[in-house]
Amino acid sequence: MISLPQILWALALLGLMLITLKAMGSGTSSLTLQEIWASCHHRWIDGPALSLELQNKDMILWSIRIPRVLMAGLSGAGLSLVGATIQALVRNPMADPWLLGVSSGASLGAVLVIVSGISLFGILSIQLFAFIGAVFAASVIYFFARQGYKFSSTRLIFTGLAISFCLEALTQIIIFTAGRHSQVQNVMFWTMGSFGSVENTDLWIPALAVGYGFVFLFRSRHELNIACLSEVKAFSLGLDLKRFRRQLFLLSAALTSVLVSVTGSIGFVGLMVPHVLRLILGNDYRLLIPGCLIGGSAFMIAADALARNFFSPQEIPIGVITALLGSPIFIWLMRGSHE
Amino acid sequence: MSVEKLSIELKNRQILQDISFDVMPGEWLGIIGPNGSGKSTLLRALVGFIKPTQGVVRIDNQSLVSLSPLQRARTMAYIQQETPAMQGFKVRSFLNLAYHPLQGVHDRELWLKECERLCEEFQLKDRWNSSLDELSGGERQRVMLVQSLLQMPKILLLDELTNHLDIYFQMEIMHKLQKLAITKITVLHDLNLAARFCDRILMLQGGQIFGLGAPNSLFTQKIIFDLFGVDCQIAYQGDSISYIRWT
Repeated sequence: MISLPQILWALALLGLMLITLKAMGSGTSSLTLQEIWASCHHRWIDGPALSLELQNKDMILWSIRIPRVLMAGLSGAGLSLVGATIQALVRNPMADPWLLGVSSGASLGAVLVIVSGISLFGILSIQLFAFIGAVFAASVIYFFARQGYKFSSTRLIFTGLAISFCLEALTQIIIFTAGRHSQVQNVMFWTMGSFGSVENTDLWIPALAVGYGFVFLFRSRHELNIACLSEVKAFSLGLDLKRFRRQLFLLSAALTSVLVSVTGSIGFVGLMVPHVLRLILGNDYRLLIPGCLIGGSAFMIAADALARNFFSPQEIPIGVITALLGSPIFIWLMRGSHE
Repeated sequence: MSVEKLSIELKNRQILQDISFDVMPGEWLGIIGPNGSGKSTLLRALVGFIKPTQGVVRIDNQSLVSLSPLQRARTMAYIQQETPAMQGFKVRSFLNLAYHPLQGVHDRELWLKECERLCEEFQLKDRWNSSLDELSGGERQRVMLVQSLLQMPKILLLDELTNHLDIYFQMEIMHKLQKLAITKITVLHDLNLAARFCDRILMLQGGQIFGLGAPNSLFTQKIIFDLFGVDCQIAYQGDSISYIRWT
């Protein structure tokens, strides 16, 4: 017998699939569902030859549109998962990867390695330095926001904001002084994010990171719930909170740095998606983790489609869309906060 | 449980000093003392959350620090003074957290049956799907107690559990605790409840043991005045204390 929650999860997955298909078709050169199907049929089942027009669209679909939509999905899912994780980590529902400086730290690390041309571990050097930047930024904020065993929400948010702005300013200085021939794309990319330059080969590392992150967090869903209790209660329920927090901290930094090194820093998703999901599903991480995977992907794919089509052919940076939607929600949350 | 020469210093302040006592299996020990005497700190040290500066806590002759977090959680359950903020969390999800230390060692079906039985006993069955923030203070305390019992502990540590309860539920819960065969260590403010339900009383003052013994031997006008600085009248019914009235 299929239960109501199972039906709702199936509907959510169906919704994600529809949004993905719609986003794959929309853009300067739009594709209908039939054209997408014809292209898939041609590639996978050796279907009928494509017309010249459809050949062009097929090329756009497979080399531009699909990697872009998949990356948007991965980024949305990853950032939402990190947001929900960081909220459990610091027991504060207002935390998110950008607010905790993880995104800006990762941006700075990535920009630094691109400009200086350092190449440790080959293609992984950007991710590695982004990770170091993320860990550094989050550690500084973590250190300042901690008062004994507890975190001060106000300190956390204000220290996070200050460090994030400071790191973004440093990133911009590096980009401006790097000169025109630098490989650094532009300030907008690192501060607002973009999926415009994503290629098929860029997808593997983020896919592995988000996949691993999801499996780890889903397996730790009970521990995440316990971590939201008071420290002494979590302790008495047998959770090694110190070790678990360290794992969550490293996972958040790693996941964010991998995503930021491919797409730049995209704000508010990690705050907004888990929060909207909390309103719908409650605070139970058993539901929130799969919810973040589906909801985060759907939101980012839709936001990216909006960014491409709103002023088409001009493209709005994705961070503008997420900030426009995220800022009012953040203010609303601040109003509801007791502190 | 045995506590040997336990001392705790936090931020260069001596909170507890040279505390030693034993608790027998199934015994109910009440901890009383004025504010700031170290009652809650002692309870947190007994659960292992605060590491002693000196001394050792043993359970079944095994040092507390040698137990893994999960072993410890299967041995002891703790209810804190203030209920944790768990808005948007359903009662059933909250109770389910108690299964975490039992995973792989306790049958899930049996545990669910026990969960159902306890919810019925503590009148929480119709609150099963309610959010924790919809509950009254008393209901929340009962949920905390049921969750702790669902850890299937040998020792239950309670920090002022009856705080938010009306007199009916105070008596109800104390009677239910009395029926439990497990060891109970509770911090209490109400001396009448302590006198009526606890097998022994541990009195703390300034982080040191002020008295340890059965309620009827320890609750005298002089000792209570020395401990709290308040005069009282004590009425007896046979050997046991009937009530303590502040004057």
